[in-house]
Amino acid sequence: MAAPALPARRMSGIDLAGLGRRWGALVLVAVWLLIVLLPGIAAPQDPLALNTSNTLAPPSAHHFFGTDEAGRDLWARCVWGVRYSLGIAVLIVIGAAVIGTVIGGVAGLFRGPIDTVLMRTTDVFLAFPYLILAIAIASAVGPGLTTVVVALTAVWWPGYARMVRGQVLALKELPFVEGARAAGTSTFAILYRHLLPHLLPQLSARISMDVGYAVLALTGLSFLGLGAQPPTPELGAIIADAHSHLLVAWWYTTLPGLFVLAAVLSAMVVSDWLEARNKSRFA
Amino acid sequence: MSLVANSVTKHFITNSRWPLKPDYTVAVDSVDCTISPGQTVGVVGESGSGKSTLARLMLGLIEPTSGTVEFDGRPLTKFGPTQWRDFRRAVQPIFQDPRSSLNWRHSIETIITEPLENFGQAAPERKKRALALLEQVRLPANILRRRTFDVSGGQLQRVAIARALALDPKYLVCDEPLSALDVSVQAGVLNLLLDLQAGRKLAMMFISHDLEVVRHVSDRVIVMYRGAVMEDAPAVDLYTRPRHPYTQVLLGRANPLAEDEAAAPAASATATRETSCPFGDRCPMRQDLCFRERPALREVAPGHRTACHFV
Amino acid sequence: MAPAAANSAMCEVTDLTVAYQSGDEWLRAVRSVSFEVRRGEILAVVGETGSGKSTTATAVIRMLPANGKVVSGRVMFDGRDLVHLPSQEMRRLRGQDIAYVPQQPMSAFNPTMTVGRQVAEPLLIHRRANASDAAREASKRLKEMGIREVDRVMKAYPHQLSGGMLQRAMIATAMICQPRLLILDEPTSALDVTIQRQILALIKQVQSEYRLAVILISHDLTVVSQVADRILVMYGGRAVEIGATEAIMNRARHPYTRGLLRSTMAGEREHKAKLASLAGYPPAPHDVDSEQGCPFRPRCPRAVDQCSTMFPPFSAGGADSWACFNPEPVE
Repeated sequence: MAAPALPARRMSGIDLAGLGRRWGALVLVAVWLLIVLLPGIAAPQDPLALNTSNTLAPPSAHHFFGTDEAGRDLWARCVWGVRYSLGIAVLIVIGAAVIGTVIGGVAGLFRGPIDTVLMRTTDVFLAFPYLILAIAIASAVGPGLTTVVVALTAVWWPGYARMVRGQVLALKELPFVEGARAAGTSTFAILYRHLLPHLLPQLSARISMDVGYAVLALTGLSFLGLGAQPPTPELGAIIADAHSHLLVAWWYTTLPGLFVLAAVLSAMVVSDWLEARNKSRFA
Repeated sequence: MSLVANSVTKHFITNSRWPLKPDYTVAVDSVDCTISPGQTVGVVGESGSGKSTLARLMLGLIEPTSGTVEFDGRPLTKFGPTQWRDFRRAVQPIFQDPRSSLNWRHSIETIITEPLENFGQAAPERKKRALALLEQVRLPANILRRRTFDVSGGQLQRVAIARALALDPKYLVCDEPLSALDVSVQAGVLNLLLDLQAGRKLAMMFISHDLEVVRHVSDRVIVMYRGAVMEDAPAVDLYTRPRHPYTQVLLGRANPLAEDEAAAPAASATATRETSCPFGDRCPMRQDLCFRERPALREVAPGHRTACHFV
Repeated sequence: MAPAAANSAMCEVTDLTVAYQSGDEWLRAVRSVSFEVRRGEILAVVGETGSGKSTTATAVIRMLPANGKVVSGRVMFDGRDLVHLPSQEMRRLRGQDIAYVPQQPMSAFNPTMTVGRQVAEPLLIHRRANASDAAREASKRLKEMGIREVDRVMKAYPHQLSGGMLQRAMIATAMICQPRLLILDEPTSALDVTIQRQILALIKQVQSEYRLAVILISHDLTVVSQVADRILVMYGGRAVEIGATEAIMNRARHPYTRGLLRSTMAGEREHKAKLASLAGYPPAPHDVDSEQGCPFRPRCPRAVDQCSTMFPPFSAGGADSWACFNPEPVE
């Protein structure tokens, strides 16, 4: 039988859109990993090197982002700074996710009074505005990154608890859970061995997206002075220093701001990619 | 060491209506079922007959509303942790659709060895045992690394059987084990079950809607309709001399009255159930008595019980 | 191919090949399948997972999913090739001249519309009837299909009816514009055994009353043998045997058909004895597409060398034809 003419999938040549869809997110993650883990390579200049003769210089070949009011290379400060922003954001979100998953998972599996108690507690935390909480903690123990981490984690975990509880409620009716019980699997083992693999896809997409939001929240709090304190080169703190020089050195405010934008957008792209992967797979 | 259901009844609440009494459907209605060691009991029924619910009751996955399920003389509801462990070791299930009753995010190896992991066996021994089990269900060793998606339906059901055998059970509760398989594959899996049963002296509860298959593998057969037992007889007798009209309908020897009524849920009003035969509205032989008095399950021949006024 | 019959073919499928897109590649699910259905006859298309039977049916009526495509072949209906018909023409045919009853009556109805409205719908679309005329006609049809409480069913929503009643309503919907070709996809698989027999009898009754050509898709050879006039057996995307029901059930020549017949529960057998079984499993989609020879070869007890190089041509004998280099001998 002669081979029938099957429709061609794409034109000859490189399928940019397809490549972008497949590898774009991973490329972004690789770039950010490079920046975070090997800042020395990404930014050859020393972020702390003072150079009073060259303050507030515009971007140039030598200083990609120009310099700040103390003559420090802005690009280097941003690179070192985003380590804090991203790193702390990831820490916050993963912490919140872990706490939320355990609480939501236990509530969903056990139901009854445990469920009620845990969920009402969740509601309380959910109602808290993070800004007020951060100010409250800062006035109690002083501002700093620890303050911000505690405040943000405390208000972030309820979202995960709710999400995981909802999913667990549905998942535990699936036939294989019954099969696991018949095989003697304990309730906790059902949670981590059977349900967790099913929760992970949605969880990881959400974690990735939340990292973006956490970066924004964190940067914002630092901008307000509640977070990173000088001389920590955290992006929010940098922008806080920068905004008073906005009229004479626009690059000083704008470029770190764009850096933040880039970080957040990347987190969103990765999240989208994870979601697309989840959809294309099986249930 | 028998697995016995004594007058088990299971109600499922459909509508809470608190503070009034809730609405409920009767999934299983006063069923007696005894599975002795080495014996195969077949359960036949269509959708809504309660056979799957009965399976779950026998497996201890749900609790009866009334009546007891007893293992080795003790009711499951009185089990402590040790007794549950022993029970799980002894009684294992095989469900209808392996694609949904096995966790598709696990590898085949994880699926087969999970029961062993639950009972504390170490990883290297588990792997060895998995390979031995694969041999028994006639599957190649390289299937261990695969996911359920890369495995055909027939093979996957064999994986389910291997998992069920992992703890060396004495009882297998099979809920429609062949129904989700291709016809050309069913016979092979059935033969496997028969071989395993003979080799290990297993007792089996074999549930199906297909009376022919059930009759072939069972020693005794229970025919269920709308949660109640219609007939309970040795397999051979059931075929040569089926007494209950419903059994005759299932065998194609009689025709039920046209169904011209709403969807399945049986009238939950206890009154009707207690005073009339569940098969009354479709029975080709029905009379007035069938709606005034519910027929009890009575012995009409040695070891052969049926719930009908007129046989 | 079966010898020419007295009444002309209502629908003639020639060399149909259908492929699905999976990722970057196109996998053929149906390969070079040919058959015909005549007026007043029920042709059963029987096969298992991967046989391509459902794909064939949906291809005939051009209701393949977005990722499916008829790669080659012809489907002649009324002197027209359905494969190349403009979609508007095809839409006019669907529901009017060719009717399709999908699997699972429970899910085939729209849960938010009353059954009566849905049964009448083809009339509203194709014949531009007004609502009350259509409703009257729908009631008539439902009654014809054996439903007693017609008024209640007309006003009911799908979830309020049992599987058997929904299937009757589905057939009524299909028949309401009096089509000439009726395609039923696994009409009894989702139903209880006792209802199955009733529905099959209904199909037979409708078919003879309206002199329909009927294509009946099923995985159950024994079930269809009760009503079918001819049977087409498919395996691995190929047509492997086609012939009169009596010939197939009693004197099947293709090893797969024989194997199927042997492994069913028919006939007396010793209690708990092992059944004749076919080793192996039906082929996966990739194998269906790539197989050069006969797809049944890996499981066939009668395979010869030639079987792996090319798919056997059809040989005919009496009321039966089969595609096999080494068919089962006549008993």
